[in-house]
Amino acid sequence: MNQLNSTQLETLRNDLKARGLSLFVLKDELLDHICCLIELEMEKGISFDEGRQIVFKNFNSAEMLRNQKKTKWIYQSKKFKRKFKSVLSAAAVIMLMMVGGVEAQETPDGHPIYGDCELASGFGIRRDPIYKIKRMHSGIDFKAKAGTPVVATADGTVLEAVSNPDGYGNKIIISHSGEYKTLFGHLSGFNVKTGDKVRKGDIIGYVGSSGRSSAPHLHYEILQGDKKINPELFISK
Amino acid sequence: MYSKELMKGTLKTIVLKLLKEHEKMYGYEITQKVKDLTQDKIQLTEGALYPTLHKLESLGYVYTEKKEYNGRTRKYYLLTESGQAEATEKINEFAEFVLTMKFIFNSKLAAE
Ligand SMILES: [Zn+2]
Repeated sequence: MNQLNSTQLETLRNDLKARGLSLFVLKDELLDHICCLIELEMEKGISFDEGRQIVFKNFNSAEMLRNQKKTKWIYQSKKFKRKFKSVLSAAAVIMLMMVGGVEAQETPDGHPIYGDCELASGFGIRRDPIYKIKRMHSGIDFKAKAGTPVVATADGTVLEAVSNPDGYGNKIIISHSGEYKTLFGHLSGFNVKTGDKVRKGDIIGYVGSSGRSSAPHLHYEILQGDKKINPELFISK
Repeated sequence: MYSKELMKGTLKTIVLKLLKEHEKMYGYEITQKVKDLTQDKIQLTEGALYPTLHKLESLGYVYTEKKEYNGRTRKYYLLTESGQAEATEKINEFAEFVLTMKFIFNSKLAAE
């Protein structure tokens, strides 16, 4: 049995804190959970640090953070009465899909950046920051520190995760069921590969300045069919 | 792995069923149990499991016990009396649901 010592526990506490996951109702059990996962890795004969890296790589901080907010809300609201969606409502959805052949549509309404960022440039005609001429800007730019996590804005499948030395640089395109695709450009690294299935909020890559870019930022596009549309109209927070 | 829609309605039932069969369980233990029982076909994420547990707690279906374990706190979940009743109801409902689904699929096959 590999059991973590107090120094290692402290390291993990700080890891969780750094990810914003130190809410009182969750932090104890989350720490215990992470410890168990790392101990499981260490049984395979690897070190604490390697185990810690593997576990945090697979750990969906963004999803956890969203749920931490929900948890907080549950604990704060005594009038919490909203009934759980029952098995029967899930059945209704499945039957609708089977009978009507309707596929659920995934609208990319999430925010593509997990962390601090600033909307630096909107959608539409603008003066190009590199070529200094008026050009169409087919997406929006978020200024953020290099390495800031970039997340999927809806469930989908990675259509492309490729490096392209000009233009978009390291680029990811995700296809969502229905008619939407999302594109992420100028990344410093990938956390997914072509063909991967992703969930809304999953970390797919990191902000960078690859391709035609003068400073770290994320270039984000939404395509409806082949038409590029203004992502600002979709982001719901 | 199954779709989000499908899992959404069943997660609560899975958790209640496991707690009914085991006196008390902690979060990680539940994820491992589900993984083992389903041969990795259902992998509960922390992000889905803990909110479900907390909701069940806020509805009075489970209560918790904390124990010190190697310098960290382990939180166990146990069914309350109303949780026992809810578990039975959910398990029955689900069993019936599975039967109904079989019915639909079989009739579809027969028609083709
Ligand atoms: Zn741009």
